Amino acid sequence: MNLSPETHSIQSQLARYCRDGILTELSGARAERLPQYRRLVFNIIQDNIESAYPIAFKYLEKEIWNVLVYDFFSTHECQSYQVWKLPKEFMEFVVENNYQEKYQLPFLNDLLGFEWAEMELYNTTDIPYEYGSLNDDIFNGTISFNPEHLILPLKYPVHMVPPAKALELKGNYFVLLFREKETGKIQFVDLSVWYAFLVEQISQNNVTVTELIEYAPQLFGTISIEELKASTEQFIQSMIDKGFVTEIK
Amino acid sequence: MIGLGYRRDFADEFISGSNIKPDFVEFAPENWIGIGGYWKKQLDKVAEKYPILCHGLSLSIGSPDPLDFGFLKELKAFLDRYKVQIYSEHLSYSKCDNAHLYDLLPIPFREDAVKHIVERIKTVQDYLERPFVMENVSYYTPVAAQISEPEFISAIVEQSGCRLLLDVNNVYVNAFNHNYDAKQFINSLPLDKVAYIHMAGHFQVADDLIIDTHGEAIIDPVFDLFEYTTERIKPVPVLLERDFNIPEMNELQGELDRLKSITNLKWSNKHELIA
Ligand SMILES: [Fe+2]
Repeated sequence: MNLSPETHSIQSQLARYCRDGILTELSGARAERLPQYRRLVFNIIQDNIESAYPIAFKYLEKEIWNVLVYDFFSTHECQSYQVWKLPKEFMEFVVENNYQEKYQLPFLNDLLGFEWAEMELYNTTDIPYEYGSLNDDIFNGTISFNPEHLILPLKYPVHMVPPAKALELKGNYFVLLFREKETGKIQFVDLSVWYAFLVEQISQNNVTVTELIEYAPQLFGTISIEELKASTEQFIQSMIDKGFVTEIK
Repeated sequence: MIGLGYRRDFADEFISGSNIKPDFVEFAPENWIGIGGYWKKQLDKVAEKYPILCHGLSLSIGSPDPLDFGFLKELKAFLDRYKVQIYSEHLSYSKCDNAHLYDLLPIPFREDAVKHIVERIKTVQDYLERPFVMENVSYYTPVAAQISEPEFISAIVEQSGCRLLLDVNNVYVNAFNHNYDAKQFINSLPLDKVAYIHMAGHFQVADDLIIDTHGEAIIDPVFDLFEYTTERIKPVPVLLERDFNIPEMNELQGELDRLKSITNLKWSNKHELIA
């Protein structure tokens, strides 16, 4: 190790100060200039987190938001070398430390999860896929979906209504997010538990709609198979229209 | 070659090339590694049209922490993919005690730090299998310095075999903030090792303090310092950095033109060096 313990410790002190803003004496430094570093570093952190979570930032009281950001940056060791991924670590920190209970914001984890999912999917590495023929039988053909998608389970419908309203609508929600091939834009679709199950099974296990419908009574109890078939056909058709279905063969 | 830093705001203008015509573009690999979707397509269009130089953010060459070989592996693949001609980084640190800080902190100008950094630069150069260029950074306070800044930079360049990215605006900013003579400073650097030049604007926040914002036009004294520098070095690529407060493209093109007219005057009949 070429670096002396003293130099190492000086470097650590400066970095620590940039993270927690607590000024201690730093040898051979101009004390009045040090706050510039704290300000510049912390601005980058704040800006990145704010721009990844515009809804949460707008909805949370400023004081609470500032506590979250401060606690995060002063105690968490940021691991990603890419600053755009920093907000993911922020979300994980907020979830792990259960701030939603501490500040009685029961929708907080859902909201951060939803906002991050959009950002991550928007930027995520391309998965190659092509559009093929869509003419085959919806029920018995093999359906392929746009692989650039994810399904997020939520307790509060933060994908549909503002947080205050979402609070009154606790339930089991699923939102499908997928990235449009041409524009790269993210589309959201609210899914019932049945359609969430359907999309997940088809994309992971290569099963047909007919096979899944046969299985439905075990999952949902007494249901009308005919009605389920009709509504499922409508659902698949709407997903074809949205460009989420890439091929049926 | 006079280039311009690539930003998402510039994508369409760069691709059409009707209002702005840089000779090359520079961007940070960290902002693009693993990115897909719309902006990746735009980046690829830009990369088809212009030579690419990369200027890193997260290597943290001056860090007490070990080098991140996972990052270096992804970086190398990226530099190969975009046929990057010059990869440069900052003579600073941005990670410490296992935590990234995403900004450039000043390294103590000390002999032990020189040794530490020299060894790391050699490791990075060997790993990336390409010349490596280090930039003098702007800083707002020295930290526990035992040697002078030019001694620090020169020793690192001489001992590691890396090249120098001379940021002329940073020299100006530091000379102002730390009360030294910018031309004297430039003269004391290993000018034969300069492989690349950065030019930018800055912002004066107090009577005695300038912050290196990349958010304003280049000021005349920095153009003068650039001219002074070009008289003392071989032709190298020159980059205009503009990260905030983005003006109309013709304003930026005006700055590129002014840089070009200086280099045409000073470097005519000389072959440009590419690291
Ligand atoms: Fe620079």
